[in-house]
Amino acid sequence: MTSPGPATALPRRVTVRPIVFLAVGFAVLAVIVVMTLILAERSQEYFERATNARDQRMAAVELRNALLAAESSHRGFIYSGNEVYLAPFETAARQATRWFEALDQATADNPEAKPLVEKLRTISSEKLTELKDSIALKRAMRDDEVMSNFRMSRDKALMDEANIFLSGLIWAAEDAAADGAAEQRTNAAWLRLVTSVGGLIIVAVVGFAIASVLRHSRALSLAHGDLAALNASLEARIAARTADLQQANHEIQRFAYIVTHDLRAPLVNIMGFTSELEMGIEKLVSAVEADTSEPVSAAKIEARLAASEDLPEAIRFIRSSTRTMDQLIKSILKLSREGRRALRPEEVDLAQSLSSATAAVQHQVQQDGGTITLEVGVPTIEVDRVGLEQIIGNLLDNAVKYRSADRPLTISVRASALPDGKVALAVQDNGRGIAAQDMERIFEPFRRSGVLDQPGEGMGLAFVKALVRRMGGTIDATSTLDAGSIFTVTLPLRPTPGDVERS
Amino acid sequence: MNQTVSPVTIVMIEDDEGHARLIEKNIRRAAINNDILAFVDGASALKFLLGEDGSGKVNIGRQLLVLLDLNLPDMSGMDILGRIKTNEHLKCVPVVVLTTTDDAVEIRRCYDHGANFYVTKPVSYEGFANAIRQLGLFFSVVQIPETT
Repeated sequence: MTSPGPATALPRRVTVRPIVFLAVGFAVLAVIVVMTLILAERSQEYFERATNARDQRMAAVELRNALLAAESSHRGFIYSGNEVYLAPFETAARQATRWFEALDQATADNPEAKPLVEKLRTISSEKLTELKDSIALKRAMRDDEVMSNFRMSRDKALMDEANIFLSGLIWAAEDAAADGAAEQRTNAAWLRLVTSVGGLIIVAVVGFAIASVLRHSRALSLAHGDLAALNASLEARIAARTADLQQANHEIQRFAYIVTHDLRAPLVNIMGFTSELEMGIEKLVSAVEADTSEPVSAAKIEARLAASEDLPEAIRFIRSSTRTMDQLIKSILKLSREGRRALRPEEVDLAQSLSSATAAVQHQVQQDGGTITLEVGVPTIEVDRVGLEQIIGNLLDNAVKYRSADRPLTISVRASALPDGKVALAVQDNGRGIAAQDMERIFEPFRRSGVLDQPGEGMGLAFVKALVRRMGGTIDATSTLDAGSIFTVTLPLRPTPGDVERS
Repeated sequence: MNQTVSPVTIVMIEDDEGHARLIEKNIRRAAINNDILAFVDGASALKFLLGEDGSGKVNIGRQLLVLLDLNLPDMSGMDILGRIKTNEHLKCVPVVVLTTTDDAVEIRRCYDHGANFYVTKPVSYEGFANAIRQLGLFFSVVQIPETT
């Protein structure tokens, strides 16, 4: 049988690749995820910085506006003395405080801006205090002091100083925002690069993986197909061989039949003409014996001897040999004819069938004071009735034929069910037994064991074995010389088409 | 015992010359003195029975009895049996199948083909001689129709 080596070796080799692809794919995916997380983190950072810068810028601008609004309201009041101008002052002062706090918050994480903001805190609170003091003087009608303060232009210097710091903060915020945007763009570019390169790698990996899986499954299906084809051809081969064997078996049986049949024809001639010869010799003998005339020559004595002794002896040998040959031919004919008989399994009452078989030998057994017992543990069996009777009959005949002269014969016939749907039929005797070296031969045709003091051709067990096999069973023998034998026939309880040959 | 004077001709188709001789001897021992025509193969036997033209007319008016062996070298005895029994002139000719086969299927087939009697050649010579002698005695009492 050819080995399906290549078909099974191929998938084992290709299974390694998808695992490698999967590992590579996972690694790339992990790198992408980690890179994306890092870049997102950085993006978040940039965003926060940009937001801070915007807040810082807005707070700075608003603080300047609030300071200018407060100054403008103060100026209006100073010039006109009209309280109407003072209306927005308090609001502007509150706004300034609020925006300053906002600025302070926005620059909380910015060490560079901190000193600027601290400076601005002093300046702006000094400026507001200055303005409030000036308003208080005006209300107290101390215009001179107000005007001299103006002339000292302390107020303007403070505002200019505040403007310088505010502008610095605004520029710093704008720079930070611009830097943030640039970094954000770089970041986004990185993200794009990582994602697209990773994506390409994953697509490639997946592509290779799919290709390899496809190749793998193709190899598998090829192997599967090979296997199926192999199975199918195996079954076909088994069927063909079985048919060949059956054919050969039939041919052998047919051959045996024809050969034995054709052997009979010359045998009839041998026997027939031997008889003719015998009749002739009888006449010759009487003629020779009747001739009592003298002289008695040596030739006459020899002729008389031949007629009375040699010729009848020769005829006797020819006869006994042809008779033996005739018996052998008859046995072979019987065997081959039985081999060609169609088996017809039917429901057989085993107890009834076995007791009629034992009844057939009962008389012979009882003659010498022997006994025969029957134990049937199986009610019915589906079997060819004639075949069953022939098997048991042959085994019982053997038990009777080869009994021991030293003791009364006891035969036990037992039928019992076996667990695997089979029936064991055992025929046990206490006869002369079979020597160990003969055990192999007893089932062969024309072979006999022990002292040949009984008539027979040695065909009984060969016939039984052939029949048992045809009926889908087996036969075994165990024996102890001078103690007895057990022949066990195992037959299927219900014959299946596979076990039983149908001719 | 010389009672048989009918002009019946025994046609013996038997390939084994020994058998043919033994059959003839034993028939003679039964005091049958009829002509015995022996054929050792099927073709020559058929030629005699059916004539050159194969019609069987050649034997019209004769009384024939056929002793037929089934195992012939050139054709099956069953074929000869069939040819005799399907011929309109020969179909009434008694055919005794005398052969070594005692197979039940074969016997059945011969009767199906129109054999009148089937005799198995006993294998022992005594049995064989006996059977032939009895067959001879039987021939001496049966009436054989003329071929028409």
